[in-house]
Amino acid sequence: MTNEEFIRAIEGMTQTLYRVSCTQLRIPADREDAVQETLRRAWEKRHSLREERYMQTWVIRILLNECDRIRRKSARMQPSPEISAVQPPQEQGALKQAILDLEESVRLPILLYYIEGYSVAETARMLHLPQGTVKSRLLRGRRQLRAILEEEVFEP
Amino acid sequence: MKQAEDFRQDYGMADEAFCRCIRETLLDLERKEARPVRKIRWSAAIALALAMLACTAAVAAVVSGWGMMDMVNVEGLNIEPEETHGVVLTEVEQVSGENDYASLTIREAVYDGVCAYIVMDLVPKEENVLMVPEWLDPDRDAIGLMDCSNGSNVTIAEWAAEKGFERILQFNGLGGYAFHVNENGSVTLMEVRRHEIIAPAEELLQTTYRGRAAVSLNWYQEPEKPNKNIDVPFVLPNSGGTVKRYVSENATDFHGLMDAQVKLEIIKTGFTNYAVIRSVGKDFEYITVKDGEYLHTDYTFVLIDSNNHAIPDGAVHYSVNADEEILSTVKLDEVPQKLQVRLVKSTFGEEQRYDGVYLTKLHSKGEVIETFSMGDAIEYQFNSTMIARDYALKEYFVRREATLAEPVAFEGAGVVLERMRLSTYAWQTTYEISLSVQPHKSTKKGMVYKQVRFEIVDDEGNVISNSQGMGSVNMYKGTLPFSSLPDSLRVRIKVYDKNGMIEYGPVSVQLTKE
Repeated sequence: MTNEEFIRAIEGMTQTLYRVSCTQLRIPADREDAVQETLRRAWEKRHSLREERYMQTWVIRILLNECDRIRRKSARMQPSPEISAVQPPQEQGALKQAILDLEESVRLPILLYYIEGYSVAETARMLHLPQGTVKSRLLRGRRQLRAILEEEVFEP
Repeated sequence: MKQAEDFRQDYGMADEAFCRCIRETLLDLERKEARPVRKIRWSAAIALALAMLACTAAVAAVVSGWGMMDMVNVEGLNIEPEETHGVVLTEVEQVSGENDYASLTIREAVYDGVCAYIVMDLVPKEENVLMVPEWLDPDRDAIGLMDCSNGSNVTIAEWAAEKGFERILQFNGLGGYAFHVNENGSVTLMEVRRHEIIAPAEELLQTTYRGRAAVSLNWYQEPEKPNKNIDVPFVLPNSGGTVKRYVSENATDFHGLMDAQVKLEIIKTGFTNYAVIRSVGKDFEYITVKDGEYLHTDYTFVLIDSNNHAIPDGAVHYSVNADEEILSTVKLDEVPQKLQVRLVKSTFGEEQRYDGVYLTKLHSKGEVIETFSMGDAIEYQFNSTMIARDYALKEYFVRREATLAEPVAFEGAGVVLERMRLSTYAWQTTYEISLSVQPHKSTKKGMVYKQVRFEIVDDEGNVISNSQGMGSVNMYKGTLPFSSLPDSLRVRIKVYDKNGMIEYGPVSVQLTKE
């Protein structure tokens, strides 16, 4: 894979990288940090990617690792008093918010399968899960999404 | 029925800052890589030598005057020319390609079973054309970035005009190179490529290297001219020979510290020496899923010589593309009497470091030739207690753990401390917790959760450690300044909403030591 091919492939994945990072990180600066580090790592290792058809799933796997690292790092940081109060929710689509509110375990399978259009096998490979587990999480995720989008299940 | 594209639109598009971050990162990576000194990762010395050579040879440089033997001599490999007789290939099969912009010729090459070293000439077809790497901007970058002998700080474009070059042809796509600009505007490039699969010892001499040299060309500031490529497939027989190949007698998993098995090899070829770290057996498990959390493991291998010094360029960080069989190929100027590979494992994104040492017994074709011993000064115990040693990389090992005796509910807050685990290391205690949080309310847009801050406090209520998060399950991780496990901890939570904060606790939680 030439540099140019790599760059084109990444540019073509911009929206996917954005959506995946959104499911993992709520702070825009964290998402940018994650994607920046992801690109750096993928760039370093791009020549060792034997089959280019796996590039997208490979890059997403790296991004998930980076998001995970940043989340854990953030959890250890001392919060400053200024950000102690709840941030007002940003204007965003109902679906996006609904996905963000899904359980962690079903959030990514739902995004990768239904929104990014990856197959069950590809999703399983990216998440290092058996295909059967992905299918069951998709089912559970659909039920949760339906509950979130169609019902008001709890009143303040 | 909604299609995926509808969902994508509903999900929203990446904002401009995110898109710009990607664009600028890619641009930065491309520029950084194209700088020749940094390019050849495991052999920066080669790149440096090439740059030095470019300085000294620039005046007399002609297309055919800069080649493999120059590199060998400058790099100081202590290889006499007669020793390399037959090693450097000067007639490579399918050696050149061209289009109407330029020609690309592989002039010299060495393949020694481990790496391929290739010297190429890229020559423009027209006269008064200067070849410039695409990562350089001729109107902004100084000529010194191209030719260190010049000493001028004018831009590339200005320098080209001074020298009578009328056009600039930019090239891209040749990875891992050092390059030298010749007086006639052509460039000589060098690539060093690692062979992805190193054959078994008995087959090594028979192996060939099949590669492609591909370059993309475009005329600077002539957008009407299309980009054109040259693609040269080539085949190199093993000309370097294999003098000796030592393979570690056993593979190791560092006594359970990693999921894969690792072997160490030393290959002495007619050209140079290499240490190869190879994974055998099952693949690396660098990401696992536990309770819905994606846990990430990094591996770093460090080669250590007889004096317990890290070998230059001998460390490799390994966290992605973990399916590779060969983890690292390191060039050794000389083979040490003792060679160790050390594993540093970092799990869960925490600076939690294990350090194991593996010692190899080397043999060739079943016969033990050399035994690498650890020496008397250092002893290791690979059992439940591992001994920390005073190395450049400190070694820390898990000693004891404790868990929450039973879940603790914060009455009125809708928050339950479900799990808690403490691990005591030689120098500190780390903890992980899981808080279950009831939703505050639900709307058509979904559940709304309050923000919860978790604190561990001392007897006076002073905060020792804290974290905060928002969602149905809050997983926190932190450190405590304890060198031994406590029997109990005092914890409290603070719940925030738009009206302010409510504090619950502190309460005492009991721990069960394991």
